[in-house]
Amino acid sequence: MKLAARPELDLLCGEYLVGTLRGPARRRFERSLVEEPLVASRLHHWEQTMAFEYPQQFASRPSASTWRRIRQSLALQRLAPPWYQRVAVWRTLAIASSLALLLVVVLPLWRGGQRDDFRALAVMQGKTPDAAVNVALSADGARVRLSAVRPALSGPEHSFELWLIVDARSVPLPVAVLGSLDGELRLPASLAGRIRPGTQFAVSVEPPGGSQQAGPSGPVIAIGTVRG
Amino acid sequence: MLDDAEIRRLLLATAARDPQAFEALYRKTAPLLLAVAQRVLGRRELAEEALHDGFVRIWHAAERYDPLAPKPVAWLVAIVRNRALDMAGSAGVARVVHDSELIELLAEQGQEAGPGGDSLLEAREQQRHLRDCLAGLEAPQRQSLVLAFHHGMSHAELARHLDKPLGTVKSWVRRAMGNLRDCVESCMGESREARRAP
Repeated sequence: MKLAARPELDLLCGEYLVGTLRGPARRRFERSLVEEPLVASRLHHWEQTMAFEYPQQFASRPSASTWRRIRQSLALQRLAPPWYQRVAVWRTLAIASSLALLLVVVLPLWRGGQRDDFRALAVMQGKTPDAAVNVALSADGARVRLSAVRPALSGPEHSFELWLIVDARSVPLPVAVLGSLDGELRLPASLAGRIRPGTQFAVSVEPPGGSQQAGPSGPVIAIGTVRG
Repeated sequence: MLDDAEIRRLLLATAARDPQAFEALYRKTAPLLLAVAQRVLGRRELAEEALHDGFVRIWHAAERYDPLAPKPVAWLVAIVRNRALDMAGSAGVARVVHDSELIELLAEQGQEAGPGGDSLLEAREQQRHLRDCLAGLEAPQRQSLVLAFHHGMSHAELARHLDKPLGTVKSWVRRAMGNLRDCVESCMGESREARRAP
């Protein structure tokens, strides 16, 4: 006889729910739950009507090993999404890409914007055309940029020294001691505002560390006048 | 307080074989389910074992979970508790239950309050009815029911614990369950009528 047809179905549901239905009787009831929809439906009604709640203060944290054992028993690691399907991976990649974009594209553009703020000031000419050095000044007048037509390094025996010649009667004013004729340098505060049309820039070859006297002590290899 | 909607969502994702949702479900519910198992089994290591077995079953059974059932936690509790009861039968578990603990259990029954919402309101109302109806049972019926439900005692264990014949405690438990169900259903019916009344 099917359990669903038996008059004690409700009582058995109650006993099952409360836990006093044990042993073979409990297993028979569980088989009926699978095979007889009416039994499952009746128990479901009991469970929803008699759902005792357990207060949260009963809660007790399980040991970490229990979850590890569950993972192993179910081989959950094999179901973990591959790296390319993990949200965290793509989120990290997106952040890294944005930063890379910033470094590779935006920053140079920003610096390029700064570069555009320089205006050509003079061309210092040497003995040959390829010994020329372009001089540019930043918009705020605080920085000078040199760019040599042909790269020129001073070597260990010498230094280059950049000079500002305000007028023909004055002693050239030292701007900076250089190892190369390419680069950017900060103009000494004392020279700010003294660069006008007609003043000149010059480069001399000096002992390492620069001239030991007021004005160039070695040969001037390039000189140019500030344009109007 | 466990959020029924969140537990339901995680259960449905578990049914779709989402291991991350399953882990989230475990993190949220395992402390409560462990406590349920421990009440039945008395011993921590056995309760952890029941929790392990229970969650393995939950993983396999999630696709049969009824998403319309209003109490998803009850479904989880039933699985872990059933496993604990199975183990209690074979592990020869010995329990010591004090009367003060029973009083505490009865007092706490139905005290949990959750967020608002019509279905939750009804669920809370049902819990209140359950508590009131439990309190309205005759003392031996109530005691045997609580010992069986919360501590997983079998009829034989109840008989020993209460020092009564086996037939007597069987009768108490059956009558207790029948009376309790009738009382709760009657109260819920009255509540629904009252809500429908203008």
